[in-house]
Amino acid sequence: MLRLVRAVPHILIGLLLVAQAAAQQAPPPRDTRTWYQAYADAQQKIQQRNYQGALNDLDAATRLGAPRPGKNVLFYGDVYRDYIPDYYRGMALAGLDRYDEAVQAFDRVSQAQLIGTRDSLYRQFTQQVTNAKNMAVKSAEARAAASNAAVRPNTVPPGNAPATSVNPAGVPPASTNTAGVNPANVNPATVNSPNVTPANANPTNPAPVNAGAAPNPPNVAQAAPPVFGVPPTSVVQQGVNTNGAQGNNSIGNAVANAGRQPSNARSANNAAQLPPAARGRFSGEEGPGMFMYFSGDYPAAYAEFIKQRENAPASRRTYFYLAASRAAMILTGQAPRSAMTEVRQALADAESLRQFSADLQLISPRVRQLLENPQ
Amino acid sequence: MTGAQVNVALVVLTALVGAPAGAFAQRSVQVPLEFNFINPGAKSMAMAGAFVAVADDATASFANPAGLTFLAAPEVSIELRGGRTVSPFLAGGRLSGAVTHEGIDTIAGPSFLDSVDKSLGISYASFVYPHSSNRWVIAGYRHELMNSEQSMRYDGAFGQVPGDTASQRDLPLDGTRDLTITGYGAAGAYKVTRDLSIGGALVIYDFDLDAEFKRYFLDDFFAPVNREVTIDELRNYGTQIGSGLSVAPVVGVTYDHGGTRFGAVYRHGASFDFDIESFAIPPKTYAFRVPHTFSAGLSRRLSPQWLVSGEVTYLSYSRLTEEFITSQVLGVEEDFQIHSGTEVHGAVQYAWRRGQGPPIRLRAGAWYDPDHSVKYEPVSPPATPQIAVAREVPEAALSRGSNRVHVSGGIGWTVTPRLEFNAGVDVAERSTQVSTSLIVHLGRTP
Repeated sequence: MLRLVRAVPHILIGLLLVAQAAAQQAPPPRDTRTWYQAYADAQQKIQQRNYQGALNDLDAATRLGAPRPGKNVLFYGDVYRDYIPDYYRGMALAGLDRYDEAVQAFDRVSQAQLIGTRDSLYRQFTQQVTNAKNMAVKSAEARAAASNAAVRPNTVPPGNAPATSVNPAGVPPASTNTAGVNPANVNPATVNSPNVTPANANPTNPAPVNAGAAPNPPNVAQAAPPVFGVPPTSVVQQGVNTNGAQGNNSIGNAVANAGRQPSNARSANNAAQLPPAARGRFSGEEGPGMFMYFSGDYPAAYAEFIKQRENAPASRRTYFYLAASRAAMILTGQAPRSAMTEVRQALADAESLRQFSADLQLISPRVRQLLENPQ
Repeated sequence: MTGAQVNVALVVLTALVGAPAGAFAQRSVQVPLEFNFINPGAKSMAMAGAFVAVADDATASFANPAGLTFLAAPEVSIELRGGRTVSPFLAGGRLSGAVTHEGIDTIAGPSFLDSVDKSLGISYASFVYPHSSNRWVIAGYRHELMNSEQSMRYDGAFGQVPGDTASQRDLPLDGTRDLTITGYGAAGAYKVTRDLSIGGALVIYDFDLDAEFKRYFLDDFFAPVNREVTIDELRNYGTQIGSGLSVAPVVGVTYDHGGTRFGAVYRHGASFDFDIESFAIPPKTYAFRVPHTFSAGLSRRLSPQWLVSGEVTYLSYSRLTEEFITSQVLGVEEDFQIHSGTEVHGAVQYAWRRGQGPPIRLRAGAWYDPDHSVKYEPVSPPATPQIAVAREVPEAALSRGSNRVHVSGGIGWTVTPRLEFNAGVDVAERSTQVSTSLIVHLGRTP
């Protein structure tokens, strides 16, 4: 009897371990929500800035049988609401720095006339559209600059270039003041972009920005990486690769091709695997990580910079991009908020942010904001 | 509960309050009593109570708790309900023999008067909280299952045994009865799969019964009743008094397949104690048993505009016979019955789209309400002519129950995204019910 009593704790522990193992092996629970519950969850996650989660919920709503978007759609019972998933999709995409896709989503809302001037969301919607278009233009210009830089390997790396130097061949600022773009919100770096002309500065479709672009002079100040924090898929769809004239050796293509690989495969990449054009552009120990960062693969970039840090002494710039990639992961829901501790530590190791002012101009404003106020 | 509105004529026994004198007075008259087993909410009323398979607002906490999982945001619901129900009772007349035209013996056949029960008040209030996981929901509510005030005045019917030269007269009787049953429920629902939900509730019912009966002597055989007497001067005086709490469970289920929804709910009837006391019988405690109900239904959304719904509900009214009725007809208990019945409900809703804003919902329905009144069904034929005459009173008094068909209609209007207004009306022979309800959506709204 005593033996049995003594065995009880062991039996309980055994049962717990079995239960834990069973729980780990159990298939993930099915989504039991209705479409409108998934939609409401998406709205809530946008408020919580969980943009990837919001996108997932919007997709789930569609999968769960949501009706066509419209005004006063029956949700349940006698609850009628405007069902405008593209509006929230646009907000989520903008939150993930996928501005081109965000603009497309917003355009679908506008075309379907789902948010009118009398709607309570109208003001917020127009503001969102304006911001997304501004950022999309800026992103496109960054890609364009990167593409041009890629065909001229002797371009000055961003970390060594004066951030505000003006391209003599650049268009005047007014050229970017296209429909839907609020001039007040246009970044000075954007208006100085060398390739934007009144004909091709279409903020809703940035792909033509590089169409027929002449080779730039080598002193491009915004010799930017190929993608402005935009994941590779958007590059494939809308980026410089749509322009066959850019050639196959552009950094844009290199990024896009890298983007087609699974994330873990890309994480295993190193500098030796960079396309030739990219090798010229992203030289130095930070090069591979920067390439991954600007291709939108923040976890891979983070892993790369961690690897660099382990090969001490790492450069201050490595620490800077380590902080940036970790911050980007937090903002995209790929890292917990508690990871800000790592961001702050990396920033401390990088010392002053001022020395990276040129790099700061190239990264997402939201990431930049987090780096400047790492609370 | 079921959307049912039931008039049950309850027999009050002379054995309790009556005089044994005369062949007639063995059992006497009925006191009309109204039960209101009605689903809460104006929407449900407008849809003829065919709501067990709809159950998609805060009233689902009562109608079918499993339906609560359809809600995506917290809701508060409150209902103002009013009604007028007319219940006929036997007031006098001559049931056998020739009218003498002496005194009040002037009416051939039974004479009926109406007891009118009017009510108005907050009959339902609830709060529903869906958990953010969208898998479970909790709710609390208050619901008036019954709120009835009835009275009757019976002058004593005349009769005559064939072959006798003299008439007989039943002794006059007055009765009043106030009965309230209020439920306080805690409900919960869980979504097992995307299509299947289960729900349940525990309801604490507060019961209050206060009834009084006065049996009068006759000053003169054909004279009007002298009611200006003290209790001590009565032939008999009886009371039915009861109050207390009782808990009863509710379980429900819903299953969705495409645009079709199945719903079912079982509601256990609570039981309460009450005391009967009179001059003739020592005080004794009996049980008042609320009927159990079982409902099952289907609803189908034919399009975003059209919704049809149907439901059948079985009610075990026979539970009332045991003790509550039999305690009033001691000695002849087997002759009195309330039969259980099955209601059939059907309704349609059309969402009338306007230029702007959510559509206005137009609702209409009808339901079949089987006779739930107390029936006098003697198990053996009368052994003597005197007994046959004595049976004339309960036969006449309990002859007015009948099956009924209710028709209903109403509207639903979204005042603001957070506020809904519903109105409904239910009309049947001798009964009109009107309801308005407000539903307030709180928290996150899709």
